[in-house]
Amino acid sequence: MDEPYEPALGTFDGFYRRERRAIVGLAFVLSGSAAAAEELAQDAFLAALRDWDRVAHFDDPSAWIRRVVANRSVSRIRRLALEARHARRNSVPTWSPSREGDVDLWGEVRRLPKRQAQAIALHYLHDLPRREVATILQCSEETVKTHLDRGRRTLAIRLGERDEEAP
Amino acid sequence: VNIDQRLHEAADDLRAALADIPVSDPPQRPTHPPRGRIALTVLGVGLVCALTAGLVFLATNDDNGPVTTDHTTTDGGPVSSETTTVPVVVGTTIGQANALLERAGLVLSVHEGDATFLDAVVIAAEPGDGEQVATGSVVGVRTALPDPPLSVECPSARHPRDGASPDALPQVGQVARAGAEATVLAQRSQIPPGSDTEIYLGIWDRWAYLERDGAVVTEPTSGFQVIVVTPSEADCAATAPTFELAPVTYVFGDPARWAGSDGTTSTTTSPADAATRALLEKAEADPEDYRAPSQPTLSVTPSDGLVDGQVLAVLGEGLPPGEQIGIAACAPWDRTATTDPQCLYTSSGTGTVDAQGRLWFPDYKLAALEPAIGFNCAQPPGCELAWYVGIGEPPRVTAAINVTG
Repeated sequence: MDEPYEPALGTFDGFYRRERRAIVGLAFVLSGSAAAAEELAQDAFLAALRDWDRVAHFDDPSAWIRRVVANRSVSRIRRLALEARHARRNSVPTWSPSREGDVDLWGEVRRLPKRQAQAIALHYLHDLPRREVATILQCSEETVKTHLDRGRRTLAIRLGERDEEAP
Repeated sequence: VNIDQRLHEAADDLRAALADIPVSDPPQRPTHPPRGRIALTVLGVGLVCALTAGLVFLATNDDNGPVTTDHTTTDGGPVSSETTTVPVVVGTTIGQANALLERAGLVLSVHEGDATFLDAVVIAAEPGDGEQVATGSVVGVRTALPDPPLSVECPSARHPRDGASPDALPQVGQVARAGAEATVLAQRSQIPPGSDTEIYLGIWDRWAYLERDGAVVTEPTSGFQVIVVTPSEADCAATAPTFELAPVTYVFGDPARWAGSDGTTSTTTSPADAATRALLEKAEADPEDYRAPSQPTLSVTPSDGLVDGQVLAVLGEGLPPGEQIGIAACAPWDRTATTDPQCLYTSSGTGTVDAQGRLWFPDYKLAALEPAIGFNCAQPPGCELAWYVGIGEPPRVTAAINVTG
């Protein structure tokens, strides 16, 4: 008989309460839809819950759920399906993301190639250093730097602004 | 203001807005059915499946005549002067969706890479239900795997998980292919001769059932697992498996039903009209027989009366060999303009040019509508299909398309 499996890390409830807003925000930036963002976050947390005994033992469960949401959020077809599901619940998001100018900016981020958009969302919205972004996106830190540089350069051109990273 | 600063400020604003949203109670773990109820559940699932299949059969044959499968009207021009209403297919199986669409005079096309066997569930369709389209139009669908009839842990299995839920398949996490593949190969050698048990490599999400033979169609870097299909729990136990390198999902049921490559792919229909065949001949012509055009060209069929999500055949010729390029629907671009081209970029329209300068997309899914950015090819000035070498760069070659919906 195997030893019973005992999660050693924090509880799912704590994980959920700590991460939910950040995950909804990430999903919003990458999907462009508050309704889809709430559904994407809910699906991701359900996935974590179902497998929590294993997820809790990952080196960084937060990185895992960010990867799940970052990958699922960029699928247009998934976004449309989730918006439809959200609408069927007669539920309307009560939050408005930000100023009009910010909406335009995030819209331009979504127009970037998928990996560039993911890197920018994780780096800026979640204030993560390149090393952690690399862990989430499962690539090298140098690749993340390239994605960020190219993404910023494109955004600067499209928005008519300067491309200078703060020191 | 530079872009770095603006991104930081926008992120601050968004975080502030998110701080105001209420955090609902966390979801609760679904309860696992007691082992004693397993047999009853299997029986119940079987009865529901049989009843559903019967109803679908009756529903699709109430005209007492054969359902036509002649879809030759999906050729380039206006498909038909007659219109029909797209039925509701989201939530049905592919088998049911195919029957419903055929009855409406439409053609089903499953997105490349999605599950195509009869039990796969349609999760999205374009054009959507209720839309009026020309008879003979293609309705593109995305599919997901159905929940398996019952998925539980084999009592003798060892792996770092418990309480697998009936829909445990997507939760395979970060397992690399090598570990899961080694487990699959090791365990296959232990299956007793004559056993109905099958073990194969699964990939997270919708590919999980397709990789039965270990032939990986898509190459994610993680998310692999072992899928064990056995007719019953008794067969599962007989394999006496130990899985320490990868997560495992057991599916109790008829292995053939979950095969994914048992001939049911015939439900996938692609336009096979004369125009498409002509492009296909060029795309697959031997290098000795192929004559490349002197100038780059882009050919698309059909090109008229198109709708967002429609599946098209696109052939690029005279392109730079070996280069990775993409195609997208773009608003007509004024070469004197100082703004970027307005295009709807999708991952389905990228590929590598072959040595003869050809790039062939037999199932290019047209993305022509994105309300979030006000992009709609059905409104003036319309769109053209464009070959681009980089996001935001001017299109190199274009092909005319007419999008109507």
